[in-house]
Amino acid sequence: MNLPVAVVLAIFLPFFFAILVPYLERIVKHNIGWFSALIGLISFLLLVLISPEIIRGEVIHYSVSWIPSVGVDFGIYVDGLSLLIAFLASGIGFLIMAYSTEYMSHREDLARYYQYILLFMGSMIGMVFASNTIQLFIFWELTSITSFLLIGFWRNKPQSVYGAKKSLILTAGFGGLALLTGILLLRAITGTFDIPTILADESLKVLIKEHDLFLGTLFLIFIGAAAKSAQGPFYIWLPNAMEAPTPVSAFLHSATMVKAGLYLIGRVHPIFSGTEAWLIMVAGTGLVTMVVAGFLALRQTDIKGLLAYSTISQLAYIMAMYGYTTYQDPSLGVVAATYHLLNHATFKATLFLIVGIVAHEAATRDIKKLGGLRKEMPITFVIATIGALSMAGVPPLNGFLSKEMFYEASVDIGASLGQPYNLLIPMIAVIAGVLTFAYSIKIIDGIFLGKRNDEHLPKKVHDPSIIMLGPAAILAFIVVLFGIFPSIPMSFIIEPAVSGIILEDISIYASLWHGFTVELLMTVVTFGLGIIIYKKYDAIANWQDEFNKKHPTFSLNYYYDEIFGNATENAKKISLKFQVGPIRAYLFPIVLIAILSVLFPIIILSVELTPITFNFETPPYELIVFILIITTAVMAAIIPSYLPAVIAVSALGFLIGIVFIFLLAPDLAITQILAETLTTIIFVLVISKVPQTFKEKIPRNILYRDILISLTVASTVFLIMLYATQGIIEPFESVSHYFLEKSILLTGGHNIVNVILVDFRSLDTLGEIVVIFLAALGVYNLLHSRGERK
Amino acid sequence: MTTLITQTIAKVVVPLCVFLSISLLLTGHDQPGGGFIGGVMFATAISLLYISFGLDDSKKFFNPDWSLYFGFGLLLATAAGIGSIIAGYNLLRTDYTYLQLPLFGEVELSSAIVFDIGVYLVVIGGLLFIFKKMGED
Amino acid sequence: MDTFLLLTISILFGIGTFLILRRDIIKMIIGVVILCHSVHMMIVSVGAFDGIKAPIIESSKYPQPEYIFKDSISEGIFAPVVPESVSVIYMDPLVQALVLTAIVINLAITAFLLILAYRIYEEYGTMDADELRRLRG
Repeated sequence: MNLPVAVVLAIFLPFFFAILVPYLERIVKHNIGWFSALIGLISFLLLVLISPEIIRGEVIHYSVSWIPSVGVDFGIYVDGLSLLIAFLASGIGFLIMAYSTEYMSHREDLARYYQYILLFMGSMIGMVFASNTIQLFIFWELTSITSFLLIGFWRNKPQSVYGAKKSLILTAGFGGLALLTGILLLRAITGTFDIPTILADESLKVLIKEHDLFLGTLFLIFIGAAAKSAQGPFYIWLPNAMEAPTPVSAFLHSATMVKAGLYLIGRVHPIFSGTEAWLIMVAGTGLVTMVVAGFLALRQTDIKGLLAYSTISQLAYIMAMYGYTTYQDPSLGVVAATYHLLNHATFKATLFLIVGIVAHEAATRDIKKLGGLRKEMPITFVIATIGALSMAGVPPLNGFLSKEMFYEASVDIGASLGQPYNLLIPMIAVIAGVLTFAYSIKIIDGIFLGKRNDEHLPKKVHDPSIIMLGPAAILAFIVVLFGIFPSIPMSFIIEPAVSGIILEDISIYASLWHGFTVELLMTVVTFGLGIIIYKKYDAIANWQDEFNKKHPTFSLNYYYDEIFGNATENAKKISLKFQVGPIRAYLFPIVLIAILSVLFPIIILSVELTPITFNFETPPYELIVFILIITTAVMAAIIPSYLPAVIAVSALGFLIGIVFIFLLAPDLAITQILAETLTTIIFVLVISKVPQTFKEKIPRNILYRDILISLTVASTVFLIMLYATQGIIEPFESVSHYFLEKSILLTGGHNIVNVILVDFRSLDTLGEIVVIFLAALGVYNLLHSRGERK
Repeated sequence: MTTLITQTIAKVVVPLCVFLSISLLLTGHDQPGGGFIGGVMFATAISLLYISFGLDDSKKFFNPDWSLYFGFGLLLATAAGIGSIIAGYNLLRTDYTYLQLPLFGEVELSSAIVFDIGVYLVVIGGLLFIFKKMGED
Repeated sequence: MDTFLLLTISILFGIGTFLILRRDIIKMIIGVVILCHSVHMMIVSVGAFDGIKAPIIESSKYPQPEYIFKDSISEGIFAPVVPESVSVIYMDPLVQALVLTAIVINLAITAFLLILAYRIYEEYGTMDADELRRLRG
């Protein structure tokens, strides 16, 4: 099969099938999960099909023109890094959907569930294979939106809705918009949206790093990635996202979607790394986040909450390692980061699936209510232990290897930075490792070891069926396999992925035992300290609870709730300040701005520009009409009762028809006089129905103020027109001559006003008759809305 | 207003006004006139009819549904635009030709008249619809 | 341009503004109508060249060669003129076309506003904008 076709199929097959899901669901009922899982498997196999090419060190690049006017193509760019994430998305997606067939009750809205998961899978695969930053952004936001939909899957639970909104605001809102701005800035610097072009061109990379906008671009793109991967202050959305069904948490919020930010960091690594800003931003954020999140994890009593914080902390490892390294001198960091990215996906998804099983069987996720389940659920216990120990970094599991690499990279970077970092960075790394060790042990101990908590647990708890155990077992097997034989993932997955980041082929050697080194010492120290910390586990958790009670404002969530929880109220308050109601209140600023922006410049310019010429040569009959117009208008204004005022306005309208005759506009004169007839009739009809009960008595001060406003408006109009007609602006050619010249030639019409209406500018006329149409509809609605009210 | 005098006058004037409005519409391309003016003229004439005979009485012999008029007019104007696309030109492009008719001599025939009739119907329909709804109330 | 016409337009504008500021809704609508009249006159008069003919080309069905249709900024010619005399012959058709539609739309919108006022009276029994705001709460 043609390789690009396979890639495009892998992206769009889930999308296509997602459309079909609701219809299929009516036929196959709850078996829809297996069909969806099949699609995941097909996508996975399609990716397996193209993997030999990638392992050989090739890339697949293929694009078609999409919006050529701005240089946006639709393209695919497959290298090792993107293939790694796509493998995770499709492979774990398959396992998760298989698991869900048992986990999700058949009473749930299964069609919607699988539809969202498939949509997410397609967007995730599409995101990593995008060869164009705009395309990447579109798929990126699609993953945020599908995540939002899945977190809020149980729409009736207020916490679900809260968590869904929070994730959408932070990932799609803050992160997505920052990313888009960053992409546009990158385009402003390089002049292209195409990722491979930037990656391949050394001179462009130099240009970016020396550009004035470099810092802003890096910062915005980093914000996008950090928000997605729940790093830094954005971590607060991930714990709330745990309201999603557990398989979704396993899939999106540990294995794939949160990796999107890291993927982006890996993708832009060659472009931005090697600068001080990169080191401070990426590695700094990573180091701080890993310790803080690890510390906060100790307090969680909900196992899913604990896993959420541990995910944040583990992602921070990867972030920090990407931050350590430079593109010119990748050393170990990139390899370690990529390896940990893969490992984390395997052991964390395992743990989430185990939590799902435990919650499903024991009906609770509260670690205080669980305990002593090892005898009743032996298989689950073994799998959970493998996952947790891998996270803790115990040999011979894969977590041990990547943790060792992390320590080594930390020591390296500390040494290269010199005092005091050569001690500080390894220390932070060890602290994070100690915390990880402590909460990993808590998972095993809290659920499976100790005394059985009979009060809260159901009488009989047992291992689930093979459908739920299978996916977890497969993942656990991978954890062990990758730990004992690290050369398998290294040569088939990590080497291509790393060469996708550092842009050259690389050969990595890794083995479980690599002698007595500093890292080994650090690991031993970690285990020792970890056991000590675990002894104090409850004390630390209690201290955190106490602290939170004493200082409720010392939390990011507090500020989030203050800002977004009250957003609607605050918006109302602010808009009430501006939207007060009476026209008078609005008119004052309008008049003020008119004076400042129009009248003021005219007065200044008029001094130096033109001598004003007045033209008083008006024929007497015109003068009489003008005087009559003013008289009728004044009468309309000062007569308090309606009918005489309306008659005055109507007289005014007819007089204006006469003015149009003076201005040599016969069409206008006819229309004006006819229209005025109708206006008068409608006026009289309405007035006959509305008795005049209200006569306004204008207080003296308001009268003076209104007269002042009117005088200002009138004099502004007078001055504007005076100067406008006397050429304060440089003369330019009038468009009307085109109409005068071409009218007969092009349309055969002699009445140019009508020709303009129906020939030259007929689209405008179409719009104008729509306005009449809408006015008529509005009248209809106004008169018929009454029937519904009464 | 429903006096004998106005009714007698209306009987003479309204048909004249309607004819005048149609003539304004048709000659609009070359003389003062066109869809807007013709439409307003027509609306004025019919409103005179409504006033002099009273809405209820006039309904007995003359009761069109004006909403049909502006609906159809908008459709016609849009169709005129689409028609020029079908003919291979840009939206709303018009063309014209000269015809030799036995009694009138040389007459200019423009495709814009279709669009203008659409405008005419929308103006008539819209204004009289408002007028009648209000009168009924 | 005619200074007296200018003065008339500005005074109408001022009166319209004054009326819009009233509490009485019918008076407000009268103010809107007067403002519209003023704006129509303004547009037509600003757009007028000092022409001597309405923008209707007479007689011939082919362009008349005796008129110059090009602007010549250096010579101060901004309109179709008769050669050798620099006198402008046609008024600007574009502004007239603009205002023609504006008048008809204004008619429809005025009718809409009036019916809105009528409905407000029906619902709340008042024509006082301040009272209305109080009733709505």
